[in-house]
Amino acid sequence: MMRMFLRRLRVVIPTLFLITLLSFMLRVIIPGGPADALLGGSDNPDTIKMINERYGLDRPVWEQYLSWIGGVLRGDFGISYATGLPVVDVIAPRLASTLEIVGFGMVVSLVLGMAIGMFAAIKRETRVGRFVFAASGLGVSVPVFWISTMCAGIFGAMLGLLPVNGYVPWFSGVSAHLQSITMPVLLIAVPPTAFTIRHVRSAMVAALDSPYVRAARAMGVSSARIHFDLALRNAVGPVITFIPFLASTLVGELVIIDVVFVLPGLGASIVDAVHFRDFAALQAIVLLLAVAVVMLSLIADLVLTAIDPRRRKAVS
Amino acid sequence: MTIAQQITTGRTAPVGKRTRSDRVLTPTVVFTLAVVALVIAVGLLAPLIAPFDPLTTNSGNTFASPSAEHWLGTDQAGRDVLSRLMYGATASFRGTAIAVAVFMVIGVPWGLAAGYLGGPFDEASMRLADAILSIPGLVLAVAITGVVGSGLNMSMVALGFIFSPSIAMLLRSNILPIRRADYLLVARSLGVSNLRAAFRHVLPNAFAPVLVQACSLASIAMIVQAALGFLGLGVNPPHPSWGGDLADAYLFFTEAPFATVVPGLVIVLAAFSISRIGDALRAWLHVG
Repeated sequence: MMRMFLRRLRVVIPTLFLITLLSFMLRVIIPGGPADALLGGSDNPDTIKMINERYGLDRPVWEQYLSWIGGVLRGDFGISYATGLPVVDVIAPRLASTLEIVGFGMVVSLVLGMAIGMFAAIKRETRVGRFVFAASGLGVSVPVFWISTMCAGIFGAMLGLLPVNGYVPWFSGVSAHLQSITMPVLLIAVPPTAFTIRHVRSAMVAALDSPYVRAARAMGVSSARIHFDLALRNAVGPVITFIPFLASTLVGELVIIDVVFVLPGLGASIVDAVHFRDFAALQAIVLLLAVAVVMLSLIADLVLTAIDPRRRKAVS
Repeated sequence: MTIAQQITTGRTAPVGKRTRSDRVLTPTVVFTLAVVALVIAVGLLAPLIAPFDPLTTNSGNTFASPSAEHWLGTDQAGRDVLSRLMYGATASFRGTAIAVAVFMVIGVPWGLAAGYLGGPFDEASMRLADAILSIPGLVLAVAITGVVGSGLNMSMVALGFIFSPSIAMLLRSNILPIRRADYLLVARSLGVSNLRAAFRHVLPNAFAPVLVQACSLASIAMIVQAALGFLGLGVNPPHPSWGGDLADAYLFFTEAPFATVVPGLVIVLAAFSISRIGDALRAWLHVG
């Protein structure tokens, strides 16, 4: 286990380093430099000089990178260009709704995806099973901005079943809070759920068609035991492997969901940062999200090694 | 299906008939090819065949229902929805083509070099691929577009860059087994240069899965492009784009739900068709 962890670190640490470089590059590739972008094309050299000094943009690029990364390691992401506040203070209030939407979205995708995927695998020879499989094919490719605007329009604006006008914090009323996040969570989960269904189904089908399941059937093992004990066990591995991918998908869709449902999350912050040309905040958010995805995949790998005896053996 | 497979799976293929999975030009594939051909044709011919100018507003005729004059009605500014969709096809097709060109131009040499050369370049460039892929695609696309400025061309170049590691990693993993192939050893011992061996012997044998992957990335590119348009970062308004028009129409959903439904359906149909062509290609090229 320890050896596996160390081996993964050899891959994770260079990746993390490159992620910081990529996020930093966002500032470097701005046409005309950050000060120009900040001032919206004002050409007063004194103002530009002042801005450059204030944000340390007059120093060599590598020095800027080192001081930026030094700050990041101490939890200081610099000063937001748009608000003049520390970036941390801009981002922190956005975490609550994001963690909630992405977290619940992940739970819904995994639970629904595994249940429906198993169902589709067991019923693979029937019309229902084939229909579910075909529908999941559509589900992975349907654009979230389209289904979310359609659902928000139909269930929110036209029928008034669920609110679509923003996020209600839980301390303003639990029921109102749950209502405000229901549609965002269900919609953000559509592609990841469909993706999970497809993978669980194919892993289950492979297991159900395998010689050991055939042997178990011949020995008179009950269907329920075969499905849950033998086949599902083999379908869990792939699910854990792609949890980081699901997280990354969910965060990508968050940008859309935050905009459509007017949620105060990181997705909205990214769009705001772009509109207000707040590159310090933009860098920080991109970095945080990427690091979160890398950490998740490290954890997923460790969990997989812990629960799968074949992997444990392969490593040690 | 081989005899051994039939015995182990207990299923039999009809004798003397090609099985369903062997057929490439199924009705679905023909349909999807037709859809893609239609989108490209409409995109290229939009200025000739669009019934109205997509930018001409008419404040006296907003949210008109479909009629003989305006087949799909008009939008909030009284512009012809069908004409805007046709011009939107131009933007969508051009944007997807830019993204595909960029990720192939970056991804193929990258994957070829990483897989064939191996060593420190392989190691370093694959970490870079990990780093790029660990940033959620839409987040990176929005960030880069926000930095370099919105507009169709730049945003699709950014998207092509973001997708290039997928191509590079796939090509690299397909090249690894070829490096030990006998024919490569023979070619090298006959004095074929490294560069020639890479392009003549390695690349063609590892390329089929890349084509399949390119189709599915093209389909995602089309959707992401629409998503960027939806966020106001793609084609600059008031010029027509499927995503941007959908965002505009959504603001007036209760007045004219039809205007949100139609661009969305067009995006879904076009993107789905491209990905189905990828599936057909997979079957035709016998990619696993």
